[in-house]
Amino acid sequence: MAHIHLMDDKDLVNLYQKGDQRAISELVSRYKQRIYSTIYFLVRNRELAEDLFQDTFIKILTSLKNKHYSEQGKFLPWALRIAHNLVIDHFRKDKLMPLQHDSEEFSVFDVLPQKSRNAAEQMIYDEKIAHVRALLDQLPFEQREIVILRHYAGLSFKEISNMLNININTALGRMHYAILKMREMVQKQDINLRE
Amino acid sequence: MIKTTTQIDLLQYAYNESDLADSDRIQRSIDGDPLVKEAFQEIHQLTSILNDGFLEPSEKSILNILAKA
Repeated sequence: MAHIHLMDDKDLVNLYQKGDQRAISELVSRYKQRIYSTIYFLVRNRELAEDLFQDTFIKILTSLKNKHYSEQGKFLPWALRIAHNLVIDHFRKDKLMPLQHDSEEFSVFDVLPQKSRNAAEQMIYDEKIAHVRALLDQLPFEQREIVILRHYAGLSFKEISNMLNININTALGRMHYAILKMREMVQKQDINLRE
Repeated sequence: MIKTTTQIDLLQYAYNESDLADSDRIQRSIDGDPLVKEAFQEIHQLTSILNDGFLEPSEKSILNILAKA
């Protein structure tokens, strides 16, 4: 048997369904950043993102245990569809109780992946990310959703259009307008995105 | 007929989602037209910085999930 880190998603799912828990640990490790980042940037609330992230994987575990996972689909788009549905469900329920977004004081950097940077590099990096968050926050939800699903979820435009039940040209169009809007904001705010 | 390179073409190219023939045409357009090159670079810069912003869930969330596996 191949080393667990080298196994593809389909084999990991099979392994988990045979009772090997190391397989789910590998899947979590493989996709935690993509799934968590997607949820976080959609809901913009850390505590809620943590809850929805856990709920997503609990649904995944239940589906895998009950053999409801179709091998025809890829694991990540399937997992992200579950995450996205949970976010949308939350927004529907939240209509009566508006979502409490993280305050300006909240530091998203507490949850950034640790990379080896010196203090000066970290400061520049943090500043760039803060600008990106500000840019994302100013996009209309439909555009922000496409940017997040393409960047953080890593889905192709075709996969995004399937997930959202929209035409691929609609997905590309929304992304295009998002890019235009972000570029405009970058110019207006004189944000330097160049390395 | 020469096909014009659109912003949507550049977007798909930036995400490696253009087919081979289109990729070749778009790259030539980027190389040959400073305005197209600038538009592509702007998309690339925005996408690069967005790609650098991945977040991690807490260790507690991971442990909760694995406890239920």
